[in-house]
Amino acid sequence: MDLENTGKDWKDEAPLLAAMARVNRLTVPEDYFNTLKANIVSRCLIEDARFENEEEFSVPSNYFDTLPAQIESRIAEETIRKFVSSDGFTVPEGYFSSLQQRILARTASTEKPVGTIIKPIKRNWLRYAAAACVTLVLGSVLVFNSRENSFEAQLSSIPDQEIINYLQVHSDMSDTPMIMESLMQTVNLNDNVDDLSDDELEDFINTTL
Amino acid sequence: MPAEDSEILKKFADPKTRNEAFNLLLEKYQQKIYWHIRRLVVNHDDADDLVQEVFIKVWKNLAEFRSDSQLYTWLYRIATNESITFLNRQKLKNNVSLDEVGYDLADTLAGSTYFDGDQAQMKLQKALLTLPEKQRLVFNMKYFDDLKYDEISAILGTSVGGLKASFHLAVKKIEQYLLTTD
Repeated sequence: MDLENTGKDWKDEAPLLAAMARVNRLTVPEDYFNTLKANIVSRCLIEDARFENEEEFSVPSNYFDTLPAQIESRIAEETIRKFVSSDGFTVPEGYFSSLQQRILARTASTEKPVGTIIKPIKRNWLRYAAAACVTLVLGSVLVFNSRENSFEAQLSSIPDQEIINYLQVHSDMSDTPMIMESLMQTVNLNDNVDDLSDDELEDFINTTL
Repeated sequence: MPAEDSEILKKFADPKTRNEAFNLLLEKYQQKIYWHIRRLVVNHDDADDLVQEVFIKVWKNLAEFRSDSQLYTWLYRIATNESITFLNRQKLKNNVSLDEVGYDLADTLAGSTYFDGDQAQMKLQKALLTLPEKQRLVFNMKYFDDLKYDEISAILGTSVGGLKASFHLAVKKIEQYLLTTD
């Protein structure tokens, strides 16, 4: 076949092909070309948006530094779960059904009485007002004179268990053990951090939790 | 269907429905709080005492609860503090370090009436009791209670990064213990 002259020659060289009607037998879905333009435009917009927003995604600082450790933790956790599925602890039969009643019984004994009776105030209010003024003046004199020792006196009058209860309800759990441990340890601020061993670093993590 | 925390708090604020609210709170949280305490102190009788003390404190202080934190994180915090205080008392009583209390607890575990775990479960508990107290705490809340780090952070008041580091150390130690100990 002469590639330089492909006008009429190919029909001579491929008469069967030349005899076939030139009809496109490939098909497309219905309305394909009607929606093709819109689809192409949408895809282009999505691609543009993805490119613009790619740099706006961020990760927490040091994320990739800690990621290997996190993955190792998950693997170790799964290994433990395969080894043992539950903790093995049990309780006496019917324990939880009775626990609620026992707690309620104890809270009932701590309830304050409801519905106190208030006596009506008598109409000779002037007498009461005078007594209140005298009390106020005398009380102020006493308070100012004893102010220096009042705080300590108040504090010492509160039972230790009440103080502990307050701290347990209102403080973070890290305070008490940290304070207790600090009382028993001395801190040398001149220690070179680079010389800390793995155990010391672990202790630091545990202490600063 | 457990009651919503908001419903519990609303009912507790009204003296007429206060007892009903407390009942709802107990139904919803007593088991979770019990098991959180039990895993720390191991002994059932100790856990029983402590869980009751926790809910007595809740009864006395719930009216002052500030809704700036979740109710269950507040409950967990009280339970954690109560358990740690108990373990500290044991430490002072027996004149051992807080971490050595774990070894004492391991000794009692073997003879405990309320532990029917197999050898593998016993080994896991002993592994846990070798951990420093705070690592054990973080591990329990993450592994058994399935709490998220954000939730544990709210309970313990510590950073998520520190918790992740602590959990990582804990699981590695436990895994090592399980693989190397008979």
